[in-house]
Amino acid sequence: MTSPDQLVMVVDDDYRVREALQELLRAAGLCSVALGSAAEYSAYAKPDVPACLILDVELPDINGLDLQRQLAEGYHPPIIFVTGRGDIPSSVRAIKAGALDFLTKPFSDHELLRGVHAALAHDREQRARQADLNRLKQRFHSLTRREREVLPLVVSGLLNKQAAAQLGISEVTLQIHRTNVMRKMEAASLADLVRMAGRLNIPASQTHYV
Amino acid sequence: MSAVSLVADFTKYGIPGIDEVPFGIHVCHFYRAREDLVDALVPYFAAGLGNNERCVWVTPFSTDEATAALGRGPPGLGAMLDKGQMEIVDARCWHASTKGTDENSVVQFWLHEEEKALSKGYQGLRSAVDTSFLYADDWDTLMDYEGAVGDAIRDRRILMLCTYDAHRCQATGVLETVRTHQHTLDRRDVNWEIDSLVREESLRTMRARLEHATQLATVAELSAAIAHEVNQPLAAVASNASACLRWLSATPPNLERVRLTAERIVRDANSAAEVVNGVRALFKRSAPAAVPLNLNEVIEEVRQLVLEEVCSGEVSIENDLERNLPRIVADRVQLQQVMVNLFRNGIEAMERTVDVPKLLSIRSRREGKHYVRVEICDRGSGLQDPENAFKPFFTTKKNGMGMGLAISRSIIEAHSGRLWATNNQGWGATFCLTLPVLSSELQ
Repeated sequence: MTSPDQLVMVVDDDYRVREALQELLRAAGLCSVALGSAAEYSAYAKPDVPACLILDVELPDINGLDLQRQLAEGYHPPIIFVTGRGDIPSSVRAIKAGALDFLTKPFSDHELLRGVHAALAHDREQRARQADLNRLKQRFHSLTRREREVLPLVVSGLLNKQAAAQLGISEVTLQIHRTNVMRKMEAASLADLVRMAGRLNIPASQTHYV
Repeated sequence: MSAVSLVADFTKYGIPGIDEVPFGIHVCHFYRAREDLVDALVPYFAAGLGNNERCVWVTPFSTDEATAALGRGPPGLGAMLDKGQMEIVDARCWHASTKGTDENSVVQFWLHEEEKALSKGYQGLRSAVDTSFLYADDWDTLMDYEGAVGDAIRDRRILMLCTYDAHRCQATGVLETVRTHQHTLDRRDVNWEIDSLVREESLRTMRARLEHATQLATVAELSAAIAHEVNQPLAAVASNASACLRWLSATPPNLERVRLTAERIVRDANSAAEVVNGVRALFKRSAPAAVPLNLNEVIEEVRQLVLEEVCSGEVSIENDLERNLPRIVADRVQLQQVMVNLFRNGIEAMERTVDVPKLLSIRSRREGKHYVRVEICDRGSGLQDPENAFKPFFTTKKNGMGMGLAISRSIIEAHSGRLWATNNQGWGATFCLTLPVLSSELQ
């Protein structure tokens, strides 16, 4: 089987619910995988495609909300919670912790599918942004030590002469470094480079390594 | 937690063919020959000896004859007389001494005897009272007394077996005697039988206990738990129905998936209805839907169900089921609930087990002639106090309501069975339950 271009992961301890959700997703043309517990989810080798997570609050091993807290430490697909109890405190907690949706069983298919499509779109954007950032980081890491010193000075708006003076090098040398930075970072303009520095969290006029 | 005691007050009756009975039962027995009476009472009192109960025999024999009859029984019965655990009273003397007093003072006598026995550390009072010397002149008084005794000892740790010489009873007298006692003991070949009222009686007291236990749960807690149980299959129904509609409106319609989803809808809707019915049976007074069942089938069903929940390879569930296990009479859904509960508890108990493989062993066996026994043995850390685990709202789990074992025990007891737990020698705990064998399979 070829790997899908997007994936819905269903984590619910009740096999009837897993089965039914997978069927609904399949009928809606969505590829899904079903897992019975938080541990199974953690152990599952997730394909590198846009995805979302339909997570039952009441899981046999750890609570769905606790799993959400664990996942929050790293990158994770957007979460849609489903629950058979639907108490207000846990829904508030879930949404505050970044859940996309909180559905109470039984829910309508439209509600769920709308949530799933929104979550997949969200993850696609999130992944695109992340890929972008990764590329930027790679470019930044290709800079030499001197070039990394030059970059914050340039983006803080210093003239070449001022920047060169701060580093104790000649203006011509600085000019060469600056050109290399622009080329290696694939920046079309100074404004472009400023934006990149912002995304990389490089504060202006300070030497800062990411 | 006040007032409610889910501890079953059962004791071995001792008479061949009858296993355990609840305290507080009032039984009559018509004997045709003296040997019959001795055959019944020797093991009856021997069981009392085994359970450390105080025993009183108001005997139709002389005290010497009675002592000799007991002496032919298992060793220890004689010693029981010597140390005062058992007392033999000549029926003639006893009735002479109680003659002229009203039935209430005779009842008071027994209640007082029970208190004395309990205060001396005995488990209860076991008595056999012969009435042979009363029929002629005092029948009405006797029946008034019998009626009052039955009501008075119902909640006490007293077993009362009233023995009647069949040859001296009129037909109407027999009827009246049976009516004033909860149960009748009768001999069938080698074994004895106690009429089915025992079962209904314990059923009634267990329901009363369950009712009490459930009253203690807040409405919110119970409704949350029930809502969850119902909403799971309902969610599945809703999603399957939506999927079904989508498969129907596809071009061309995917009839294979339509059929599959429709079948699941039927299955899950039924299971939601079963939950509702089960809850109703649990929380209202209605009787469980008793049908003949093979317990092994229920165990296997539940095993499959539970295995779906656990991560593959994490926990193994091993069955050791007796082939040709006799059937029992029970409510299938309720029994499933009990089994699921016990299985899940066992698995959860092993959550932190690391030194040994996580293995849940299930065993089914016939126990004696009248019972089927199931054992669920885990390799967890065991129970601090096995009896505590059955108290309502007792839980060691973060998200548990603490009702699972209390309700499970009520269900088993409502089926005239017992549910208890013991710690294993090495690892973990074993939950045991016994249920009575279907009477038509008692060969």
